[in-house]
Amino acid sequence: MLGTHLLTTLINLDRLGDSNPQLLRELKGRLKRFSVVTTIVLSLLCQMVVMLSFWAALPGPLVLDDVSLSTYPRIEWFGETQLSPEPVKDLLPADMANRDRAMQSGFVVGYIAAPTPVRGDKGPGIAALNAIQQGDRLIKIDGQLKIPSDDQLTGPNWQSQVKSLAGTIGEQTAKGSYLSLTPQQQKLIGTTIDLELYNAERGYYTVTVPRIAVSHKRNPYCLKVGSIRNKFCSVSQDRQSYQINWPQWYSHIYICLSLLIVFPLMGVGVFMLANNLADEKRRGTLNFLQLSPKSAFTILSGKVLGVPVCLYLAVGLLLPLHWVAGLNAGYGIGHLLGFYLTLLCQTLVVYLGTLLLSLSVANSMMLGLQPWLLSAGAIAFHLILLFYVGSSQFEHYLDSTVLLWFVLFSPFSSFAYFVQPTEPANIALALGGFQINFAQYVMLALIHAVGWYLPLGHMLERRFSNSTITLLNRRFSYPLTLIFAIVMLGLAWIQADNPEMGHWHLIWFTIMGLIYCVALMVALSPARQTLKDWTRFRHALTSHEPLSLWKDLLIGDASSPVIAIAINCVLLTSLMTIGFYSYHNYGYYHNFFQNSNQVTVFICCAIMFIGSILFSTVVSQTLLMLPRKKSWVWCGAVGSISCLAFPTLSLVMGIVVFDTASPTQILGMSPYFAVLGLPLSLLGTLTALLGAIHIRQLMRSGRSELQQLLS
Amino acid sequence: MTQTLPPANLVKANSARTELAIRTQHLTKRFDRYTALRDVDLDIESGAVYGLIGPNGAGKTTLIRLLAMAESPTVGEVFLHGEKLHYARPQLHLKQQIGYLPDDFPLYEDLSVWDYLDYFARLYDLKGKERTRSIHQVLDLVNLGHKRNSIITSLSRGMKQRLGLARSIIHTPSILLLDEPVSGLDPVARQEFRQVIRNLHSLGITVLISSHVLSDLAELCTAIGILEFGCLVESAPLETLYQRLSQQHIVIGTRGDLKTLQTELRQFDNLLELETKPQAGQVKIQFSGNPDEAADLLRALVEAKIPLYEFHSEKESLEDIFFKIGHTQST
Repeated sequence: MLGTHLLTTLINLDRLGDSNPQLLRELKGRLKRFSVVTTIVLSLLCQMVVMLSFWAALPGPLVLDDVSLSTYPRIEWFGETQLSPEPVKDLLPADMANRDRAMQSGFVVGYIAAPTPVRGDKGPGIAALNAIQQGDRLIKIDGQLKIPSDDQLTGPNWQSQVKSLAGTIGEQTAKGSYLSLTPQQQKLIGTTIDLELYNAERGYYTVTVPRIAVSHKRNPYCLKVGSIRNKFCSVSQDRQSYQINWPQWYSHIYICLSLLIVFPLMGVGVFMLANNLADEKRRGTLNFLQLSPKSAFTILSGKVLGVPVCLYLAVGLLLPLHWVAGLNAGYGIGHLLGFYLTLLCQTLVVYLGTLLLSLSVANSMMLGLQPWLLSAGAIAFHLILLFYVGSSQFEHYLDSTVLLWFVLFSPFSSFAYFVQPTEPANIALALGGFQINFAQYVMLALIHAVGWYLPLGHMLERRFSNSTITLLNRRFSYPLTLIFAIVMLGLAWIQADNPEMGHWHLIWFTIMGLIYCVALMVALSPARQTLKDWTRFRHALTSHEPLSLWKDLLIGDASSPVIAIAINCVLLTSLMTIGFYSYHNYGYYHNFFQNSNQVTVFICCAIMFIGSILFSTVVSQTLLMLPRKKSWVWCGAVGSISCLAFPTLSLVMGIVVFDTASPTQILGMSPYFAVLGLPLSLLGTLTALLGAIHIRQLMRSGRSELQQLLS
Repeated sequence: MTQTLPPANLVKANSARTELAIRTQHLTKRFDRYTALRDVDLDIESGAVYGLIGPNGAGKTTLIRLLAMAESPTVGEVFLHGEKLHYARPQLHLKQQIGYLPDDFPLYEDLSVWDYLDYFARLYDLKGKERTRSIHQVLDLVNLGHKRNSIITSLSRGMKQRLGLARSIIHTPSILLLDEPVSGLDPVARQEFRQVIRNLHSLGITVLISSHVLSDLAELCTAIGILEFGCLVESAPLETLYQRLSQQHIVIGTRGDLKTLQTELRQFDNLLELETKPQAGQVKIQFSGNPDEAADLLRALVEAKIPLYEFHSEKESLEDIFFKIGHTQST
């Protein structure tokens, strides 16, 4: 029997290896007895530690000395306090409507406990909690009159009268530790008490309040009862144990296990993948994989599925407990499955990004560092997302909804739909921006992930097959820019009816656009040698057809990327500018553009953004072609600085002009010339100058390369 | 060394080939400002064992990497069995035709010999029994059958080298590119490696091998190419190269008078240069005749009663040719 099973497994593995040899190799290399046993032990140990920690957080065995009689809700009466030297008026809120009446009329409701939601048999208690108000006057207990008569309150022995009444009330509602409760009091636990109260607005009314046993113990997982200050654990009807809020306990276990699933997947998984590729590069074996007839998809999918297999095993072993905790916390199966699905998609996006970055790094020093950097980056990214989407920024919509995009990267976002709202309430608010239900959220997360797989897969395929080729095909970059602009505008549309967010949208459009353009510069820039080869090729052409040159510049991968980046940048900026302005034109942000001058400023800022990106691109490309060692370092550094500096400058200046009541005051000149015209013309001149230098540099490079080849 | 029969699939794979296995036209590779390979036109016939020699930095590794598709050329074209290679999207069936062993022969040290070969056989789409048979064949071919279950890290350098070779032929390529495969091997391991190459040659596989051990190449190769500063300065069948460039010397030792010997030798037309070593009583002559004419020379000297104690012929080695051609032509 066992032999047949083993044979079947082996045959299946063999088939798996035929379709994906890389996966089989990784599985064989990693699923060794020691590592599997270690993984299982660690995972189980981890679960044990979690369970023990949460078990230890429970209130423990019931201590009868701590148990006393109370009601649910617990009511503290004022009136008996008249016995103390402290006057009642100092204890009652100053604005209490019937304060004087309370002072005169004996027993009124002082504090009412505001317990955590209690499940089970506390129906009458909840009704009483909702009905009773502070200051209500106690008329009868179980039908017996408890109003002190005027004689009782004004007579010579009023103190003893009131004390007697207080004793009666205390006897039937609260007081004392369990051991000191009288047998009659002990019998009262589990029964109810009818209170007739008087309220000036509602008149006389009766509520039924259950008598319960309470403990003086405080614990986060108890069903709580008590005063505002003292949340005591309630005790079960049979007085054998505390009443535990199990759903909350399981919910916390679920959240803890979720953290234990997500962060290792992001941190350790990324490290394993990056380290594996760095090892392959160092050893030189990656070359063999690239030279084999297997596709990049086969090899890299084998890596993604196989390299972190021990991690998957550890996480897989956590899932049953995670599932049980989720179900016991009261979450629906659909919600639990939805979380796993979104987690899977988001993890895959992160893993593909890791593979791409790992494949792109060639520097030997970076090879050792990159697993640590990428792993730390992935953890930091998800931590920031976790804290950011839970911050008060979203609670009051203080930020642009453009940032909602990041919510789709966080696996914890789905919690907003089913985890107790006290935990990630702000994520719920953030997702509320989308106005979608859970199923729609899962669909959106899936579409978002697929939207990432396409460019990532395209870039991985290219980088894997040829390490010198550009990451992104230029033909692909234009539709990508279009999609990016549509996504940005779509996210801003959510808050289209809020004119106050206009500035924030513009700021985030600039920042996100900047990040996108810098990424595009990296992805579209060919290697220095490729560019030189292209210049030589162009120089050697006998017939100089302008069409072929433009074709090279627009859709070729080896030519200078300046034109392609410029077109992408113009496309992006135009779409976002027109889109934003259209919102205004169709009545949204109707208060945003106050006058035509502001529209001019807005358009000038957009032009300056394009100019800055173009300038940065020309700077970086010119530096890349300089005959110096490590020119790519200079190119990256100067390109980044100019990228950051100019758009920021344009944005700040735009806002200054936009918001300044009297822009003519700035530098005492015409506002547009001073604030926008001057930098624009300066930027234009610099870009044109550098562009000319770059073109000359390319032509000279072509000539010299050809001469060297022919010599 | 076990001499195995040619695997059936290998023979079948190489039965129908065009005449030229490898052809390059104006192949040039530049790395920034450095030209590693310059306008190389190379023709290698199917079934040849082609030796590539040249000093360090001559461009041997670059040429092999270009042929293996590990690099793309700056200029020029490569044809494998007459089909042009597209570097942007290399044809999968041409990838299947290439076996490549780089000089550092990287291995997965954690795998066993069998698992390592099994992994690469799968990468090259060998399935089921065909894969098992192929692994057995290459293990026998490189004489590592007895180590099939050993972990790679436990193998000696020579064994690892042979395992690397086994990996590069597991998919029965028609062209095998070996970049300095015997560097760092002891004489026994080198001899074993030579035997493996001979076996592969007998199977009809075209082998391009670069090495600094010229005596090995002289023994193995059917053709030789010499690279210097990225230029292919010589490429010819070994026999042609010897005929054209290797000079024959005859050393004659006598107990008698050297002048008498010199006078006697001057009567022959095939002598180009004559060098005397009076202390040893020897004369070294550069001889352009064939073996029969050398025999005639010996007979004439004996008949002239010159007391000979030594008469032997020497040919210039590949190393001599390399030093003679390589440096002069490239500079």
